[in-house]
Parts: sequence; C-alpha cells; structure tokens
Amino acid sequence: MNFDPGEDQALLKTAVERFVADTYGAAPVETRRMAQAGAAGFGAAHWARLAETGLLGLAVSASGGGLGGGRVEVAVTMEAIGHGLVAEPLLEAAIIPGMLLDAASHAAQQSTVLEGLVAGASIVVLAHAERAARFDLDHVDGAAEASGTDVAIHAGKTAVLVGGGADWLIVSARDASGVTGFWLVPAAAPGVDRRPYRLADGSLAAEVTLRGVVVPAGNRLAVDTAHFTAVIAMARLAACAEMLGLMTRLFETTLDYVKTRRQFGQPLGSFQVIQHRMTDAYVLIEQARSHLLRAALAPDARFARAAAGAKAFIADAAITVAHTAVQMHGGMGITDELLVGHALKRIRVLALVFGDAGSALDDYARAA
Amino acid sequence: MDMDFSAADIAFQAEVRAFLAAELPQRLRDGMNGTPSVFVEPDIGLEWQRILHAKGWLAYHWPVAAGGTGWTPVQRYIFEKECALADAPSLSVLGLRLVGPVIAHYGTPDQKARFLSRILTGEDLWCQGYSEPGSGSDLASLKTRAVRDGDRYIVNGSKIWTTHAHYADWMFCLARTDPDVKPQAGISFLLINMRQPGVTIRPIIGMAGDHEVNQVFLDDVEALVENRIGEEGQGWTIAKFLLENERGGSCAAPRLLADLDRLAGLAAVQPDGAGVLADDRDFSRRLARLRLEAEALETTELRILAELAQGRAPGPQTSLTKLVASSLRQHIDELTVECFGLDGLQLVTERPLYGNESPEPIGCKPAQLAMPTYLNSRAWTIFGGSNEVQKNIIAKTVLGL
Repeated sequence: MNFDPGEDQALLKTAVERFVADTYGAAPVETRRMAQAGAAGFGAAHWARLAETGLLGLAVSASGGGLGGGRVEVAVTMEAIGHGLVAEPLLEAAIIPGMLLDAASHAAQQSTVLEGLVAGASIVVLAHAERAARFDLDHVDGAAEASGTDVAIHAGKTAVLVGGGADWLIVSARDASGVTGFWLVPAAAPGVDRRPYRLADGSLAAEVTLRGVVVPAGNRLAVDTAHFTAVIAMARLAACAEMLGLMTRLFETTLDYVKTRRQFGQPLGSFQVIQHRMTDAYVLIEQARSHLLRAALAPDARFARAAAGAKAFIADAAITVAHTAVQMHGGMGITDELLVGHALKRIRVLALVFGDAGSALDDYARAA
Repeated sequence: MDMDFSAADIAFQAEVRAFLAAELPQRLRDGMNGTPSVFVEPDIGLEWQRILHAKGWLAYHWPVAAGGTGWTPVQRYIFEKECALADAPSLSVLGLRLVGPVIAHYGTPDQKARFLSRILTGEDLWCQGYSEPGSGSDLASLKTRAVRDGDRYIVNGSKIWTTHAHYADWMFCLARTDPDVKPQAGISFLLINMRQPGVTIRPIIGMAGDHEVNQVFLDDVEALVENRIGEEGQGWTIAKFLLENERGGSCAAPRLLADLDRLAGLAAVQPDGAGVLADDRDFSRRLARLRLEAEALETTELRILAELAQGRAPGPQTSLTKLVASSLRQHIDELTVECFGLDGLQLVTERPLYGNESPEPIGCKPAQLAMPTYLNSRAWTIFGGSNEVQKNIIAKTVLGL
C-alpha cells in the first residue's frame, strides 16, 4: 500500500504546477478575470499552452493521440488546477469530450475532431443536461430521427458547460428504439440556436436548442450507456479533485489570514471559536482527500459507486469549507477582490454538475 | 395566555392591507422582488418612502414628537408583516432606522429641526461610518481621528463597508477625539457632509457583482462642532444605542416566512422528471425544517414584542434573533439556488434585474435572482456584528460565562 504518486505521476504534477505558477501564480484573481473576459470565457493563450504540454489529451488514449492518463493522473492534474484557481475548462472541454470521442474515433471525422481537441484548435463540449431532468443523468427527452443516411436532432439542452464558445457539441438524444446516443454536431449547424450565458464561476455556458438539426448518421459516437457511465464517473472524480484543490487553497489562505489579522489586540486565530472552525475545515479536507483517493484507486467494477460517493461527500464538504472561509474573512470575504469568493463560486458549479450531492448520494446508495 | 391579536389590532391589519393594495405600485413590488442585494436601490426605496411619508406612516420607529406614528409594538409588527407579504420595498435603514432615532434621542432642538424632516422627505441620504479596515468586530479600536479646530473638527481616516456611500449626502461617523483615554471613552459621534473636498469613495464590488458598499477616505475633512451628536466622548454610548436598533427593533420572521412561501410556490412548478420538485421528499423536508425554524423565530420575536407592549425592557433575545434570522436567511437563499437545478447556477452581473431593460433570464426570473441573492446573503452573518460576536455577547451577558 502506497498513497504517494508514482514517478510519472509526480512528473505530471510538477508540469501542471509549473503551468499554474507561470500563469495564475502571481495574481490568481486578476488572471482569472482577464482569462474569462476572452471570447470563449477562458484564456486562449493559456489553452494553447495546455495543448503544448499535452494536457488537453490527458484522458485520451495514446492511440488517440493523448497522454493515456487514468484516474490517478486525472485526480493529480485536477487538484492542481483547482488549487491554482485556473479558469481553463480542462474538465469540461478536454477530459469529458476527449473520453467520449476517444471511444469512437474510428470514423475519420471523429478522429479529426479529437485531434483538433487535443491540439487546442477546436473546443468540443458535451450538451446533455435538460431542464426537466434536473440532476437525473439518465433523463433525455431529445430525439434523433433517422432520415436516409442522416439523422435530424430535436433537443433542448441547458447548462451546456463552456458551450458559449464551443465549435462542436456532443448532443445526447434518443434514437428510434429509445436508446440514448451521442451525436457530434457542429455548433454552427443550421437549426442550432445557442444562447450563451455566464455561470456563477464566470464561465460561459449556453442554452442550446436543436430544431431538426441534420447531421450524417455516422456522426453518432460509439458510446453506449456503460461507457457514458464511466465517463460520468471520471467527470465526477475530476470535479472532486478540482474541489479538493479549491478547498485546500481556501484553507491555506484562511489559515494565513486568521494568523495575521488582529482584532481585540490579538490574532483572530487565537480565539477558540476560530480555532474550532478551522479545525472542522481541516477535518473535512482530510476526509475529502480520503474519498478522492478511494475513488481514484477503486477496482474498475467499483469505480462508479466510489466516484458517486466521493461526489456526494466532497460537494457538501467543499461548500462548508468555502462558507467558513468567507465568514472567517469577514467583510473582505464577500467581495469580488479575494480568491475566496471566486473559489466559492467555482465550487458551487462543480458541486451541482454531473449530479448534485443528493443525486450522487442516491447513485451511491443504489449501487451498494 | 394567548397568541391572538386584539380586535383593534385586527382592524389595524385590515387598514394596512387596504392601504398596501391601493397605494403600493406593482413597479415597486417588482423592484423589491428583482433586487438580489441586501438593500434596494434609491430609485425603488425612495419612491416607496415618499408614499409612506404622505400617509404619515414612514417614521414608525421614531418618537411621536419627532414625527413617529405612536404605534404599539404589535402594530409595528403587523405593519412590517403586511409589507413583507405584499412585497413592499425594504426601507433604507441608514436614515430611518439608525441615525434618525439617534438624532431624535440625543440631538439638540436645532439638530432635530435641521436633520429629521430631511430624512423623511428623502432630501438627505445617509451612510454609516463605523467599521474601518483595521476595526471590524473590534469596533472600539477605530483610528479615524477628529481634531478640534475652533468651531469644527478636522477628520482624517478611512471607513469601510459603507453601504450606499455613493448616494449619501451625509455620514454619521465614529471618530476618535481623544487618543489619551481608554478606547471607548475617546470616541465622538459626528455628522459629516459627504459633499466636500477630501471625501473619496472607492466602490467595493461584491461576489455577485453588486455595488452596495464602499471604502470612504476622509482626508482633512471638516465636521462642524454643531453637528456633533451628544457630548465629546459620548460616541460609544450612542454607537451602542444605534447598534441595538440595527440588530433588533424589527421583526425578521415575516419576510423569511413570506420567502419560504414563495419558495414552496416555485418548487410546485419546478420540473423534476415526470413530476415537480415539491414532491421530492428530501426537498420538502428541508423546506419544512426551515419553516419550523422561521415559525419559532416568529414566536420568539412576538415574545419580545409582548414584553415591549407591557412596558418591560426586551430581554437579550435581540441578540438571539439576529443570530437565528441571519443563518435562516442564508439557508433559505441556499435552498432557493438548489430549487432551480442547473438554472440556479446562472449569474448575471448587469443591474438592475427589474424593469424593461433587465436581461432575459435562463428559465424563469426567480432562477436568475437566486445565485446573486445567495452570494450577497453571505454578508448577513457578518454585518451588524458577526455571528461570532453575537455569540460572545450572549455567552457573556446572558449566560454569565
């Protein structure tokens, strides 16, 4: 038994931390603000640099042109991304679409799109959530009707993460037999009505309506329910790792603040009530890390359940730690000037996507 | 023992309802409901203030001699509850609830004549100069210095978390007039004209993008001695009088209960698979638990009112109600975000979110308001004395620890 990163994992961690230090290190809040002001809602130059380091292909197999990273590599990377308050959507626009396309990259077009993704040339995102589904990931009302060698897709998708600046959408819909499938759709295709909007974390999502959008039948990805479940489990793991990085950053910042901020002639941290709240946060973070490790190291057959459990636990823990960080910072905590508020807002988004704590807990309980 | 209103109270309630139905414009209701920040903007608040002033109901927290209504504590409660149910805009606390009663209580006849009616008419807007960058919870350590120079003081220092300083004509300010005595004894309560050289306002933008608070720099700013309230060195006593008004004196439960009703209504139409969210057992239990807490708070507040109505001093429950109300406020606003599923994640930073120019929501309008309201609501357990400070007060003064 050994919870230390292996040699390659340590190298990966160093590479991600170097990216973070070079980009977000000096002024995380200002860098985040400037990056998000970009057309796609994140920094184009940062994205290009992530492509150069190969990180956009993190979860893509070597045969698909990626790094072939597994769960531990994803966890190590995303924790560092969270800790750095990085605005670039490695989870939404690299890990998830990379895994979906990789499964299916036999068709020439899909493999070209995957190459573009890994190279940082194309932004590809999953358009899956629907309003009526709430947090139920199996609920899809979108429909794909066969029409000769094409299909016509009708669907209303909401909260398409990073959808505001995407070039390609991977749209879920039910086929003629009622089976959920995934189709690669150019975001600029006729019949795609896209309304970009900002989420709490400053990212540019979109509401997307597809009214009979015609794509070749061959644009269907070879992604079945089991494969999709595995991708969602990895998305949950990545979200958990990013939340753990954010929690850790919040904790470090807050610990530093209560040691230096003085009221009533002494540091805030000398008051027992502050000490206990910081201790509670510390315990939550250690417990969260244990859940992340359980999910990252679980046998394949138990991974989905462990990832669901980790998501349920860490989503709640991260919000609690973020609320503590805001409260301990007093008035400064509620401003847009400190990283505290930005971390809280990113945690809010990560806590709800790919199943909120409640629905992830249901998945965990059902799989027992 | 009973919890019923008297016949006279019920008649008063009917009068308030009739007034609100006739006189509260829909535009102001929309403005209140479309405001995600803690305070409404003057375009909404002042119009409502004028309507109430015309009716003679504006200064209901003030002594009759200063223009108050002479309402009993129960009548005040009924009025606030009906206003909450009718979505009436919240009134600016700074002039009406904070400095107004201070001037009415401690001011000279001349000060009362000069300031009180202009608060009621809305001609003067006020801001509060209490907290400083180095003095938050530990207010008595404040460093803003006022040095006497003939018939005026020269004031230097910086105030922070100054709500609506960017609209204010006047600031009521705590400043140190004597640095050589113990901290509380060297503070005076000064009224400072904001429209003068040396007053610099730096906006502080909140997590949701709202501009409510500021940092105010005072560089060789003038405060006339005739605009000092009370004696030199009496500032701390007056500050505590004012803080008690800020922390208590008004009932929070009616608005919290009204918001819980609204949330229940929203959950009843929020899609959840084939059904609606209101049928979700987990959600309905969480909502019910918050309602239980709010109902207990309502009765605790009524117990305080009953003490006041009998001419007895209210107990230390005023500290308790701030504690309960602020965390309840946060839990309601958090559950409201979750009510809207993924739509609850949208965050627009354009303002205002009411009126014809307001941005289109994703989903419904309440979904658009949920996230900024929740983010701003994190301030409730911080301002007016953080929850940690409130608990210390209860432990010390109530429990004798």
